Amino acid sequence: MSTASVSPRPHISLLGSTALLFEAPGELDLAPQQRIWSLALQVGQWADIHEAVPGMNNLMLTFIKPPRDLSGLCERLLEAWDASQPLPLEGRIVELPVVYGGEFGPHMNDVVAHTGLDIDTIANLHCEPLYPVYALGSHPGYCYLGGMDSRLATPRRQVPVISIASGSVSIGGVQTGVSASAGPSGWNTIGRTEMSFFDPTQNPPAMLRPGDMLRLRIERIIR
Amino acid sequence: MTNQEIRQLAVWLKETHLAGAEIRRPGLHLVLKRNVDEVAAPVHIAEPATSKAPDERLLKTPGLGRLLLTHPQQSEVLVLAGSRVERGQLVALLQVGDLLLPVRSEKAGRLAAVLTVCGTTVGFGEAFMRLDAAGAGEERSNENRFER
Amino acid sequence: MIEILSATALATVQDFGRFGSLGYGVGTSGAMDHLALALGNLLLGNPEDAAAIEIPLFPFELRFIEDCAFAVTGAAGEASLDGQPLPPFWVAQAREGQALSLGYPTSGSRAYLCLAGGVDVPLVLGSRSTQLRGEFGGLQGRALQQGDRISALRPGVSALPTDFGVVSPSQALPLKLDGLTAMRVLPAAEYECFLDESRAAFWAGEWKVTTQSNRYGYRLEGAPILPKEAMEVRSHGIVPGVIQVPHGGQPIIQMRDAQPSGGYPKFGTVIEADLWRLGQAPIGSKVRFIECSYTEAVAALEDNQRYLEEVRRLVDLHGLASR
Repeated sequence: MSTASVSPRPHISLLGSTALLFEAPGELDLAPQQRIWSLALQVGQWADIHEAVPGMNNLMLTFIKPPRDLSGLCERLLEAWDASQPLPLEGRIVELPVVYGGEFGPHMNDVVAHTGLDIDTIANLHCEPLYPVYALGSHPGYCYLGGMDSRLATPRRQVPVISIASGSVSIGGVQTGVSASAGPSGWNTIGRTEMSFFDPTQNPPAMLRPGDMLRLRIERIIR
Repeated sequence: MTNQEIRQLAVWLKETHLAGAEIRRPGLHLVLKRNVDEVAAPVHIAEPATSKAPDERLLKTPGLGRLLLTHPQQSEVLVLAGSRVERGQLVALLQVGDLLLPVRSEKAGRLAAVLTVCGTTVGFGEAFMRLDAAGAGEERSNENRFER
Repeated sequence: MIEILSATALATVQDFGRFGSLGYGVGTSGAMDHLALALGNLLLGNPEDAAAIEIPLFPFELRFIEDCAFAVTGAAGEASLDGQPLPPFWVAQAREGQALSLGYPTSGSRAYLCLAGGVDVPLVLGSRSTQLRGEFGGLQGRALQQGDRISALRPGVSALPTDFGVVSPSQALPLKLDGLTAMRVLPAAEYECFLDESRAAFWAGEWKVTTQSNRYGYRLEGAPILPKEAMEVRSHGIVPGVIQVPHGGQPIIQMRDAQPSGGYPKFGTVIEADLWRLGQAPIGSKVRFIECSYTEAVAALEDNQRYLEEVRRLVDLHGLASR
């Protein structure tokens, strides 16, 4: 067994002078995501940092004020990552009934064409996993989910759609998600569900948080 | 010169970093100096001789600054030569640092001549425009239309 | 209180933005030209980040339902209060019943109507900015409509001086390249993944702000920026100013209402200090980009801050001198 393993290092880059992006190395997976959650909790408390925002195996740190010692911050960040342990999954499980295809899945045909699978197989493979909520983003209450079957992967659309309905279930690359409000999307929409994901009068305003899990259930398939 | 004018002069002196100003005009000799260790040569602002022609109306600057005839963000002058000027109308701007103060006409008439080049640093009471009486009889009753 | 007379849409209530809720998927929103917003507030003696009305379409008309001091900053066009000309970047005292009319801009593209004390709408998640996607914040989470009435926090006749103005940010902080509005850009994570000639063309070229440019994003037209090979980027947090390059090579600069996360390759980020320049670039205009470093980006923020502080100091002095 090799004792000298060269593991790829995380990549750190700037988003202007406003934020810093930390990308974990390796394959998109749950264990690195759990370490990202842990890192976010820790780094979110640091003096210069306004918000630590998890993404898909990555973390954006927005600055309160641009730090004077940027390289020092990067060093501390790498040290914190190296020391980080995966946060256990202790969230709630939320079940969502989904209607696949037809008017609710305007891009189902594109997924069929790209994957070579039929609609029933796509719907069943899509409902199979228990999806951990990796991160929130995109729009209020929207959850990025991990664990989609890689056989369903379909690239993001060349031309984003102006508006897809709230509750749309979509595939973008190797990821899947459920939209929380109507709006533009570059993902492939294959179905729809109903749920209130966000209420600005509540605290916290988002219904789901990283670590929760979504169970999708086939309500109906329109072929 | 009113107390407000003196106060304003002191404030603008501070802004322009001049060591002082000396103003002479009939009945007034005012010297203002800053309390600094090194006193640079103070600015002398002499009141230009004014014409006493009865139906000429001179507009005078309200303070120290750069006199602008066009707003920096606009391309046309505020008042075209030969056009009618109402009492209270904005005819120029006085730039002090980043601030632009209004210069509003205290008289009505027709703009006969512009006496100062746009961008000139001016002092108190300098004549910068001359109105004549053409159309003076048409002074409107709503003189106070223009907000100060 | 004011009443909107125009039928034109797209005007929204904005302050500096909603910060701290990115983790819930809530983007910052906020003024496209935060300097113009700050200046209007400073002229009125408001807190710098008080909410105002951002106006992107003209002509725009409103009526004052009660006495109120106000300032109009940002895009400069023919503005008048009851027919009397109002200079650009100016604070004035309006009386009940007076109508304010803003004509087509001759410079800039977004005007800010600031009211004494700031626009009075509820704070939602710490901000009065309009969150259009989530339909909250600002005035009921939507653009203003004809007939809408909006209150100021400090109506009446202002105790502070009115009827004066300020030199605009484009005069005080000029940045042009070959006669065109320019913005500084910091390269982003995927910068090296683009072809050398594409990178060179980005800095050397003129970029047209297409008609598909708005608060969500500015779509630019110019020489296509092509990657060395196709990239799929994982979804990650982004901020306004991020320049995304989707398939096709025509960049989209994410603006204030952009999604707070994205998965397209990033070429660079327009620095925070220069976002206002982009926010004022009219549709159809051409812009240039200048590569800069982190240090330069931070220095640019400090330049902006110094300008605002200088204006605040002068406005305070003017207030003192006028008593």
